[in-house]
Amino acid sequence: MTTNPLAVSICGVDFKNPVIAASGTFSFGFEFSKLFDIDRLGGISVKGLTREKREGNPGPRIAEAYGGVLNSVGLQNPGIDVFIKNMLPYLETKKIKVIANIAGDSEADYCYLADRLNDTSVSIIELNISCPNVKEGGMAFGVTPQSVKKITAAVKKHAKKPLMVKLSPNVADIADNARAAEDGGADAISLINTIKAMAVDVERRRPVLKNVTGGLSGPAIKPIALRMVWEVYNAVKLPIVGMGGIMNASDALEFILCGAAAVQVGTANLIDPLSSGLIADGLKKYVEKNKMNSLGELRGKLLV
Amino acid sequence: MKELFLNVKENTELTKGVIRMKFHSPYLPEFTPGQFINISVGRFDGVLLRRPISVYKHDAAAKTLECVFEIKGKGTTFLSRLKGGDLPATVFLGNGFDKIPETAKKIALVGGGLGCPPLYSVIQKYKYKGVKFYTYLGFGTKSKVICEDDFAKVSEKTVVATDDGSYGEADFITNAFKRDVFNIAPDMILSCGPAPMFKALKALDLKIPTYISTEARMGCGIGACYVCACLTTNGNRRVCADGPVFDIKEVIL
Repeated sequence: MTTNPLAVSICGVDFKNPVIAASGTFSFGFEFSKLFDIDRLGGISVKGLTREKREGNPGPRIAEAYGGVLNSVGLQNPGIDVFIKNMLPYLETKKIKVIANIAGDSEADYCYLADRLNDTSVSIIELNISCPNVKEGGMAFGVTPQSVKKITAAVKKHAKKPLMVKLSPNVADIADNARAAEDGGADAISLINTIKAMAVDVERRRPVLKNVTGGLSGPAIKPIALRMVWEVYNAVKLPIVGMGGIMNASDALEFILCGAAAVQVGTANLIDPLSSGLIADGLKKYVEKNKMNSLGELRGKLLV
Repeated sequence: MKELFLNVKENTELTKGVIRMKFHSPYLPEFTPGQFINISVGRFDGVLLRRPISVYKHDAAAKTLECVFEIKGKGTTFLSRLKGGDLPATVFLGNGFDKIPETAKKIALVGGGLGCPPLYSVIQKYKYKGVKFYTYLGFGTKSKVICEDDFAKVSEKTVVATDDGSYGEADFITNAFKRDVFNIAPDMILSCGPAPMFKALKALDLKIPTYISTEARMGCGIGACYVCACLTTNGNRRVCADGPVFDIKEVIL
């Protein structure tokens, strides 16, 4: 029997490869499936879900930076009920693991969402306490280690599914927040969410984003993301899903060397809609070329 | 929709700072007038996002499409310099003007500035079906007037107006249209242009089905990132996937 060298298990969930579409860039998979077979991916982290439908922020909600993209969408989504009723059945027809990214205005919201997902086909809950674009909740829960631990512990009591905490980079010490998530009972950690940023239109002398600030993503933030994944890898025992500016397989390998068990691909989906599938292909070529039994052999093997 | 490479066939300047480009691909999918393409600008000078550009002309037999755009920033500057080569693009995107009934006999087109060219693709598709077109094109000033001859050749009537009166009628195009609309009695009005023009068109309160092609800064272009919002009576809708064409009654202007 041949084993799949790209297979990876994260908190008991088996992914056929470590490439996961990042929340907010892939919707619920339907649009991208018109362009390529999304079964080539290991998983999808769906658009951030809230208790009720949300309209998000007023536009413009996207701006550009050198090698990066800022967004201020503000969690526009159809709400948890519509997700479970209309989107999840579609994803169940696919051979990819579904990660439900959840966000709320209060601890009670997060707990409610975890409860609602308990008896669904969702594989992992991703606790979004790092969205920089909503005024209430979101990043507020992810700033201090104390608040990270508190919300993680609270949601963990409700969640039957493995809980992955998505950390914000907009904090004093990312390792402290990772340890806090671990102490709170998290099963995995994903990082980084976007970096709070601005873009300015000199002609109009205004911010490009109506929301004034947004979250910066893309290659511009990759070095920061790598550093943070490395710091977190050295601080906790939990499996890490790394992300931040991954555009190709080589970028993904850098994250794995820094300690990531899997990666999420976000902004690249906007730049080239075929990116995530090509990254999975690239990783396969890499293990074949290097005659590796498992890509996992590379995890955290950065020589320092 | 399809992800493919578009080969640059032609690149001409229509008027200062306004470029017409012709692309070819053997793999072009079916096209609905009013749809757009999302084209890479080669990650030129740190620009990552693709540029969504509407389609001016489409030739299914020759497998070509033409786009008209204004040079605004780094992305369009890059495109304007190309004389050949291939660029990745996703084509064709959005709903387009897909609500035109088979029974339509007379359609009025109301365009403003860079919103004029995409209306031509409607004529291309429906002219041979015997639909009559009445075209109203508004521009800021004479030097900005584009595509007039193309429309004039195939329209029953073509009216051009400039805001400063330097060419054609000295008026907003919606005012020129208002003077004629009851004589024409079109079955449908299709419009593309800036938001103030849509506001003026909506204010005419004509009891004629009116569809407008809207614009917003976009991310993915295929409906997955929720960046391009159009505020409607049904909440924020995706310009790239639910639009860009909406019923004017639905859009909150």
